[in-house]
Amino acid sequence: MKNTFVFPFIILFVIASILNDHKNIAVATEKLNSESIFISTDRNLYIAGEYLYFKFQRITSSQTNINSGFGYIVLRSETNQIIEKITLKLNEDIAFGSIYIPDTLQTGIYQLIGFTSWMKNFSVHPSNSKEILIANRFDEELNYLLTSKPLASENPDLNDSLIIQPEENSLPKHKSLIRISSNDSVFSTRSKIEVDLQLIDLLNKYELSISVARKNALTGFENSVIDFGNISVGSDFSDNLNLNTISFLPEKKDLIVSGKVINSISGEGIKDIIVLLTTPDTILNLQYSKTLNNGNFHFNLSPYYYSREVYFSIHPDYLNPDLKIQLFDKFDFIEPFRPVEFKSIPELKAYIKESQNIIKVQKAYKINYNLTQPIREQIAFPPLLFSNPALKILLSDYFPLDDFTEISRELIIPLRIRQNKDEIDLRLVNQASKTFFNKPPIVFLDGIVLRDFEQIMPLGSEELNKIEIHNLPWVYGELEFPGIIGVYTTKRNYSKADKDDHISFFAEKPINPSTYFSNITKHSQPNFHINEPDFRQLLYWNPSILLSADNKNMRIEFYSSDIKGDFIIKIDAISSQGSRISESKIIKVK
Amino acid sequence: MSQKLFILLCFTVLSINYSASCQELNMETIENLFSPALSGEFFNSPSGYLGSQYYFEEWLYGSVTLLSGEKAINIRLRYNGLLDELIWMKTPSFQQVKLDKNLIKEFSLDKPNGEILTFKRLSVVLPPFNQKTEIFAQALYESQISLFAFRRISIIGRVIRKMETGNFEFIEIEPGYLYFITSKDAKSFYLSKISKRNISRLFPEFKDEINRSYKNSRGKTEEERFILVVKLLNDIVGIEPIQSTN
Repeated sequence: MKNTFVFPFIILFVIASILNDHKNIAVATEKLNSESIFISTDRNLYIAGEYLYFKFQRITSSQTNINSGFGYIVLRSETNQIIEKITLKLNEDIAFGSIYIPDTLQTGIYQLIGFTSWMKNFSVHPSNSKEILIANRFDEELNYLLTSKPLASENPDLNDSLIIQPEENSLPKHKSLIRISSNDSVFSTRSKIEVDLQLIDLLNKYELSISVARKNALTGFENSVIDFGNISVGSDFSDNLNLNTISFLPEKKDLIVSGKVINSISGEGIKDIIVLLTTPDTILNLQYSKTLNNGNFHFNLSPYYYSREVYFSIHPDYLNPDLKIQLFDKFDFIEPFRPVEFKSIPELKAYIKESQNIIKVQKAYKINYNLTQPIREQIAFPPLLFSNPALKILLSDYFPLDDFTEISRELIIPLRIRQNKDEIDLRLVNQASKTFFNKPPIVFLDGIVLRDFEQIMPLGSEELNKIEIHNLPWVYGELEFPGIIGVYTTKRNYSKADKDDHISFFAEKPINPSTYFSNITKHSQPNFHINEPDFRQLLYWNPSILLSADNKNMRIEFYSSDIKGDFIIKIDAISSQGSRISESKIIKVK
Repeated sequence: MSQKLFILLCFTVLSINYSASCQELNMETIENLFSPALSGEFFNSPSGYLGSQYYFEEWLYGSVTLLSGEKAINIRLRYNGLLDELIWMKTPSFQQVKLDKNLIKEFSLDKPNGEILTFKRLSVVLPPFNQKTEIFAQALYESQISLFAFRRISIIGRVIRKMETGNFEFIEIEPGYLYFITSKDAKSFYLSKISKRNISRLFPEFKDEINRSYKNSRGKTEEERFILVVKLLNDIVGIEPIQSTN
């Protein structure tokens, strides 16, 4: 009777667990569409050494409760090499800036990928990326362009693919939602150009970017209305997703760093392990996180750690040497970059060669249209372990002592050091109870958690600057420390702190916007010197304009340069309904 | 019977398993992962005192805002007026922790009647030594002219009590509140006793208005009347009150 019940009972339990796991994974995959990124750029073709201007726009469903406040943009090559990665602070879902294209890049197609931390739980959809052609400034042969490949439009997944399609009349026609008009269609060099934008679709708001650049640099887009319905209409992300089925959390107020503690032998994630995060500094700072059931941990990174090298270590109380920390890299892409294939056109090579020369001249004369936005630095308060130590010793105040044992004996009254063959035992006297703590204190060397006390033993007065002793039964959140010792070296050689026990990474500071294109030209300046060359190929770039029924008309003004030829006024816009449109108009400079 | 029991068991197992594995992920679940770390020292209330050391003897739920801007909410707190320290009851161990005062910007205590008391860390000159000191003071009214109450517990004397095991000395303590009036131009005054005369001495140019305010607030406590006077002074200079951050 007993067996009759128990056996099916266990089987049922196992089946139910498996079914639920499968369900969670399936649901997680379905959530792909709950957040999406639209990237627009000032051009589609660049010469290495130029700046690329981008706009990053997050699109979500109105039903979702994901509130990502940060985004990431990556430029990668055909060989999946990351050329540039930027962390962006979103302002109402939008960020914009520029990327300097390194001189050393080979001619080829590159991919810009936009994503949020939350999106890293799913695969990268092509609609979140944009492809651009970059030509090396010194590549005279341009053999890359000679390879004839199928058109990108044959790939239905790629919405904004690079199609070299210069024929004016080949652009597909559709009903305009935003009308572009200019005060003339032909302009002389260095003349003022006025462009009026008029919103036709008054039922929607449009957030748009506009660029005016040479036709060949802007080819590859189509006048099209693409419904992003599937992207924007995602369901609420909370349905049945739990912390054990995802690796990356949505970042709302601060950046989140995630990782996993594993047993390096079995590879399994270990739960309930305390992971510590510190940065080298002259004050003791600390953040901690406890691993979840799957071994994952997440840190809500304090802004104090931005632009700093941060160190992760396992709490010294855990003695198992097989425990290892793995950090989840947001910039690590499982999906390889499969570049769009394109059909080259004869005049493209000539255009690139001309552009190469222009960039060379601009470099020689140090002409730069990229302006840097002055960033108002806000000082972030560090997550301090304590405000003031119970005892602070400045070694320069005393006669020189040879090593840490001697220093502790002479200067640190509450510290007892016992050295055996195999180990060193440190104990502090509890200032409150006047008895020794029953466990060793936590020790920091230049702010980095130390597991092996052996490393501080040879340090004497010459190497050390300051020692802080906090011999109180100290509480820090859920953590309890039987005293704290902070040892600071004169040369800050914390790198000597046992590296095997730490994993570090550089916490990039989120930016928005950092740089922008100067639309104000010298032509409008009264003291402009007529002999100074003006070889701007990009005449105008404005990443963020909002058109709505209340603000349906907008005029922009800019000046033509010394370059003659066809220029395209191009608009990329996202409607309040989540639809993406592109509009364009060609003007001539003679 | 056994078949029915089996079906019932199956249903129970499936239900438990489903609900256990479907702990939904929402912003609250995520934010709960990142509660700020309060730091301080394990604490035992000093003994040998006659009278309460606390502004409120009971533990009250409240929040602590750190200098980093992080906010710990819904935690059990008690303000020790004798030490001028904030005590946190750590769960689930129920140990008391004296929080590191220098890392706290402000805290609030939620009284059972729904009233929220906000305390801020102020740097003031305290009698009798006239030294600049950091204190926790309750914000009674905040505007161009603000009113804070330092809910200190003062020692008033020592008494010897005869107990079964012998004579023991106790320290007698009682509330000895100080009131600080601060203005935006960094001037601050304190009053150890609030009365119409004392307030009028501080603001002689508004003597008539103060008198009127006192007349209109009969039946209220001296502290409530003082708050009304400060509000009146702000109204005269035309400043709106600052919204509390809690």
